[in-house]
Amino acid sequence: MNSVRTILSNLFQAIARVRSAAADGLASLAERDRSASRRRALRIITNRYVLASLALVLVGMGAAAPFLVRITSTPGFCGSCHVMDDQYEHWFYDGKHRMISCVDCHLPNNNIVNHLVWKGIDGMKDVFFFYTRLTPEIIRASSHARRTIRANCVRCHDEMVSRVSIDTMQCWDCHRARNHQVVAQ
Amino acid sequence: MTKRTIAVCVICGVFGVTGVVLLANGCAPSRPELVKVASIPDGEYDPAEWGKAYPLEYESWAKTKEPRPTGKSKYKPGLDTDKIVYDKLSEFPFMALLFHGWGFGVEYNEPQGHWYMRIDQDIIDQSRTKAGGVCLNCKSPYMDALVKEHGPGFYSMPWQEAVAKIPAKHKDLGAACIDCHDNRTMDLKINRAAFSKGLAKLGKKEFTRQEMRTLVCAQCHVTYNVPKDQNMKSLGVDHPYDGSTWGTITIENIIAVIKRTPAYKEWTQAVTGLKVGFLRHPEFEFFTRASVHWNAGLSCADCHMPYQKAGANKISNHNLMSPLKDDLRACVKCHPQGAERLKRQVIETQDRTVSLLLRAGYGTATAAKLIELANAAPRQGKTVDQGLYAQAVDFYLEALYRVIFIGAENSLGFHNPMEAGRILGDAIAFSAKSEALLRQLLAAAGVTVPANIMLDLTKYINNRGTHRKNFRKEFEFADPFGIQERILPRAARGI
Repeated sequence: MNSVRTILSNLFQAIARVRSAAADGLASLAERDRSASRRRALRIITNRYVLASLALVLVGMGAAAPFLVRITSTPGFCGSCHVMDDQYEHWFYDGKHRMISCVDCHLPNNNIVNHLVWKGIDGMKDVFFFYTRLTPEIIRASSHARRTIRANCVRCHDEMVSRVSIDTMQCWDCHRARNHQVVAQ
Repeated sequence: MTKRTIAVCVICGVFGVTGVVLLANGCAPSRPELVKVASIPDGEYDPAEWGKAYPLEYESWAKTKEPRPTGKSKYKPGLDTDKIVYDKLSEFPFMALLFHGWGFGVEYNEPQGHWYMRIDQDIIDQSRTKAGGVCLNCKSPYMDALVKEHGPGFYSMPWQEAVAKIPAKHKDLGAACIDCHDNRTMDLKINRAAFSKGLAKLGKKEFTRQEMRTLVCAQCHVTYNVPKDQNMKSLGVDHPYDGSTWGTITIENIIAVIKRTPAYKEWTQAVTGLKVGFLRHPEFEFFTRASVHWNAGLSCADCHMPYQKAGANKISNHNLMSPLKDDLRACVKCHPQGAERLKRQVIETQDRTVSLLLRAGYGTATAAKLIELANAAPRQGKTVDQGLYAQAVDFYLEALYRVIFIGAENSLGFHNPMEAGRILGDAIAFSAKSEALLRQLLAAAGVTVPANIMLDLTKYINNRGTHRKNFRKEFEFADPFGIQERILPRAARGI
């Protein structure tokens, strides 16, 4: 407990030094007017209660992150926007890929950073298009999306296609039941 | 903000961004690489050697030896489990009349596939191999090497002599791995100089891998002409692509090339006495002329070499055959309606093509008999209007070449149903107009001509060649819609 108090008091002392140094550094110049608002901003930012709340929020987000990532990766979540109904229903009745979720095909899965970065980008793009009602009637994958999906096909089916050339056509040009359009019989 | 602070921020920023970028692009498991268990030496023709490195594909290729299930293809039997060799002249009796005068009118059978393509050349009536060494162009993978070794004289070398020049071990080798693949990378490549020359006429130099999946088949599944010199010796293999472009090789251009090139008049049609050219299995030209599947981006291999599971992997099916004999496995992936329904649709297309082919074929045969009559008229002291005659012969040739084109094409119209209908429609128009002109000039010359011209098919279709082949009624394809018998009664056919 004592070491924690020492650390905290050292921290607050350092903050106080930054504050006074800022005040001294600016006093000599004609920036006295602008420096007033700067000093106020600095005082707010370095206020101990503000810092504490910020720290609490960051810790909270860090703790909640896995849970948030998990619940936003379910097909139910993707399907909660009504414009996704067609795609969701098709996935729901699709025998072979019913066990995997939307993000297993539509987000990069080569490493976690890539996955989370594109999760954020794609998610916010969807939010934007949905709430501005700019969603097209027929939703088509962008060229980056097509590259991502194809890489995911290969990720799972790699050995299966290791003896054939996969550059001549897109997987779903023949395997039509996979692109949310045709029901296999 | 001191300089030190700025420096610290910049450095942290650079590290941060680099870290994210590296993490984002790295850390992925590498793609499993195929383990090469053997390497194929350059210039290796033996498929068994290639099979050491690629056993799955080799095994699949070797299956071309086996007969296919009987009864699955209505119009293209051949190498089926019934072990029958189907006589094409009995299937389409008008061909016996039209081709009377050279090998095709003696013996013309349904093909038996890649395994037997070289072997069947030795079995068939040898009037088919009179052209000499040039006949090996689409049959032996050694062709280019043999021409290089023996010079252009190889093309006109007598048949037996030319075959003896193939290395004995591979004398009967048909389509082999080296014909399509580069031995080091398995990339697709062309192994026929004659076809490369023809391809250059189309004005396209670079080809994607998907286009190569059509072109390796097109090395042989194309129409060609064998130019002959004054002594009727074969000079090589030419493709009549002058004036055509990639995706638009038209029958009109092909006929124009044949008509204006005297060297391409390879034989004399006995019935009409005309020196005419010929057209052979034009699958490439026919399919690539804006057919539905070509426009959808498909290649020959997509339908005829579909991917199949071989253990844990997929390979292209190297056991080439009609998709009908494979239960339309290649089709149902994109057309999920089921094999039965698709097969009915294929047969509907082929039925209609056959119906029109019979109309065009018998119409052209009728015109041929009238030309024969017109040729005989001067011997009876009757003069024939030469202007009308020339026009009638011109139209007759337009019809004849179209009939040969569709007759030789191996899909009975399925590769391009609309184009088949168009070409046969034109053939019927040309032959009908030719017949009309001939009737007119014969009437003017005072020759009486019956309403139904007697074709005398027994003369042309029976007792053919060394094998004494005769008309086999059970092989004949009747008009599925019954129209042909109304245009030309069976009695007029003579069989």
